[in-house]
Amino acid sequence: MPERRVGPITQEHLIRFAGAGGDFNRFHYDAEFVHSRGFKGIFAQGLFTAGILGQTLTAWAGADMLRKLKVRFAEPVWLGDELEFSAVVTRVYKTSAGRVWVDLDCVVRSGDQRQVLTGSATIGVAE
Amino acid sequence: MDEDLWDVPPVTFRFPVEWGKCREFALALLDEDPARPQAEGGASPSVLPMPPIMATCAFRYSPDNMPPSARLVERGLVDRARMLQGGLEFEFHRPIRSGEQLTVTDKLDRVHDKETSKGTLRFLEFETAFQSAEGDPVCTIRTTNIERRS
Repeated sequence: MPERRVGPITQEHLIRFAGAGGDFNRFHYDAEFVHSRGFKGIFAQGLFTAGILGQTLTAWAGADMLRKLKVRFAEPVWLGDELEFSAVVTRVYKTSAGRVWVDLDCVVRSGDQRQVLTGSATIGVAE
Repeated sequence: MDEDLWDVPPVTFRFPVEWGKCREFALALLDEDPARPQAEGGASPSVLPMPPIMATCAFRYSPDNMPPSARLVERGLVDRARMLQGGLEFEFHRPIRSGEQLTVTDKLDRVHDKETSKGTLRFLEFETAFQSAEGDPVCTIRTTNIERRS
């Protein structure tokens, strides 16, 4: 999968995503609240980052090809972070039904090289 | 305590995969507009693929508008302030398109404790299963929340 760069992440991005999903958790828009809870600033919804990864995978492999996606939220994505989405193929195999599947390891890094999300995906290959 | 957790019943509800919501999610996830006409003078596609992550928001269509973990929080069975999201796993049995009417069942699937150097952690695994109108499996989501117990 070609690397994809996104960002810098803005408040508008997080509000748009909150509106789509209906999750208005104050950690994602209320700076005063976030500081009162001991965080250095507003951070992105984990699903926002995971969602961009999902879209990047389907844009590359085809909207119908994603079979599995597993993500772990490793570190916060802060406002202003630039993100780099990448995935490498770890295995190509045939299923018992004779279909060709490809496993990938996925990583999202911030501009300062923190791994903010790690995961794996399986895509089907058109035959 | 565990018996109380298991007293919370599964919740089943209908999930209409709306064209406008698929477009809104795609735009919020920084895609190009999936509704743009494919050719000059053409019309917008009448059917859109559902962005994979949109499945996690299906609970917005449930009667109580809550993810399964929030149902445990509301009953005082889990302390939200001590809970973190541990991971998320999707399995798509086939693609999902706008216009579909799916049936969703949310349930607590597994609970286990783990002793660590920082105390006891409780792992709560939830399963959200999507079925087609014909009852065929379409998608399964496994969500793990971790509660610090001590």
